[in-house]
Amino acid sequence: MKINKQKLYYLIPITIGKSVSNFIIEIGTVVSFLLYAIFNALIPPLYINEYLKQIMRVGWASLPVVGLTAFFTGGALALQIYSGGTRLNAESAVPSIVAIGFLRELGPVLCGLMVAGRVSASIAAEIATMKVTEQIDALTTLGTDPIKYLVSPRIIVTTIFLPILTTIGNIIGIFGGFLISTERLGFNPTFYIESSIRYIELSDIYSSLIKAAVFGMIISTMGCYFGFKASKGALGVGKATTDAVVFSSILILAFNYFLTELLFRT
Amino acid sequence: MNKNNPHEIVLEIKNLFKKFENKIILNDLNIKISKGKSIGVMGPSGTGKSILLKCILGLTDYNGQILYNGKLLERKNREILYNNSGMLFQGGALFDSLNVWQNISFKIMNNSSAHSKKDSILIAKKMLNEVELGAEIFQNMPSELSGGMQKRVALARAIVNKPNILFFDEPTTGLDPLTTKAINELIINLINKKNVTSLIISHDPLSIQKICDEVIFLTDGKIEWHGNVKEMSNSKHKMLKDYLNSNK
Ligand SMILES: Nc1ncnc2c1ncn2[C@@H]1O[C@H](COP(=O)(O)OP(=O)(O)OP(=O)(O)O)[C@@H](O)[C@H]1O
Ligand SMILES: [Mg+2]
Repeated sequence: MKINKQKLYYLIPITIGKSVSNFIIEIGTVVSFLLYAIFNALIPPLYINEYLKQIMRVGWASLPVVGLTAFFTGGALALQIYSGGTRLNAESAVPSIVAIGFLRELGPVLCGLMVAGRVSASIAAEIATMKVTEQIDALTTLGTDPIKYLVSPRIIVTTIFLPILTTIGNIIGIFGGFLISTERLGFNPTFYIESSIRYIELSDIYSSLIKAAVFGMIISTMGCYFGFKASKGALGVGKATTDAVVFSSILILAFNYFLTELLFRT
Repeated sequence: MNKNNPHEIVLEIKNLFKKFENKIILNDLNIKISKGKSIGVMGPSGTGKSILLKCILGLTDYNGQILYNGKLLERKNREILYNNSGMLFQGGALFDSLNVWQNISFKIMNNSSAHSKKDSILIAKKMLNEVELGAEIFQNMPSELSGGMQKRVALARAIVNKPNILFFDEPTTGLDPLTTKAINELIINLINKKNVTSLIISHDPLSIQKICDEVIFLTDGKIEWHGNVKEMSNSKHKMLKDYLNSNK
């Protein structure tokens, strides 16, 4: 086929313009979805049982994953900083760098990514299946708002529980660093603990919590949104799950950068 | 139909249009359902029967007007309809995270007049009885039930709050002849005993003949034939005749 050059010049800006405007519309849809879910959470009936179920599922069931990742990463971090530090004669910085690095970055990001893989995927798969099998329509015809019943509990619980999970992950990660440093690298335990604590500031702790809460909101919103958007068939469910994990992971890393800019600008 | 007494019309559909992107699915439908009457909707696959129900129930956008007891229903505000209707979905659509009694009692537990757990279980067992299932399955999960049992549980869930209008989307498709007969009889019982108005989508002319008063034959989103159920089998309408014959 002969390509009409003139036509191509028209098509390029039109296509770009269309995808940009679709992207902006999609962001608007996600934000209004999130706001609707949050405001409706405050209006009775409250569906307390749904919140309890989500607490078990998001909070309790994520503990092993978060704990194990944090422990091994803390250990590896200590080893790395030690071996890098010997080149500069800065081995004594291991405790404080492990602690600060975990609180500010690794704790929330690791926890966010691990929970994104677990929770975002399972929320998306569950809601997409409900959509495809008309359970969401059934909720509506039974006089229940599906967003209030399904989305609000998931978003609220994940947003509250990710900071808690992250705090536990931080403690376990720092403990992993401590264990490797004292057992493998010959650090004095008392020295290690003292120098860990000496350089930690309050801002490190609350920034960790703020990041985790934002990531929790991203994870649950993406899971719910892509679940609700799912098209018919098993293919739709699979796509919803993948999209939820991919988009929540990317958004976590992107928001991590911007939050770091915002919280630690000096 | 009683045209002189508009108060008797429970559901009225006026100039209903529905399209997806550029494809027209429903094209200017006008339907009236009188109190206590049962209307069957037939037609080839993909003509928009399920979409018609979705429009009535406000589960999708549409153009046109739908009135319930003379009141115009808004797209997002259908509480009056939901409070007084029951819907049986094509696949049952039971909530798979809830067990049988939680499914059946969902409506009475999650609404303003919240029943206690004990009452809800009692009512659920009574409903199980009504759809001729044993009360002992009240704690089973939907995944542990056969397709026919799921349909019955879904029927129990749809009628738990004593609705005065019922919607059925292919209540017997995919079921064996015996279960089909049983479900048809349950529906007939419900409709006759409780004077419920109903709209039934079905591919099965025999079921329609048993259950319904009137029939609408839908093709390509238009009403191709509309009449009394007794006139259906003698109709000279070519498409309807072909459809009925192919079903035999
Ligand atoms: N979400 C959608 N997007 C685009 N087209 C759709 C969508 N849902 C349904 N359709 C189209 O609308 C038409 C009517 O669908 P509908 O489900 O109402 O058919 P039906 O009459 O109930 O068929 P069946 O007897 O097989 O259940 C079909 O052609 C279908 O392709
Ligand atoms: Mg259908």
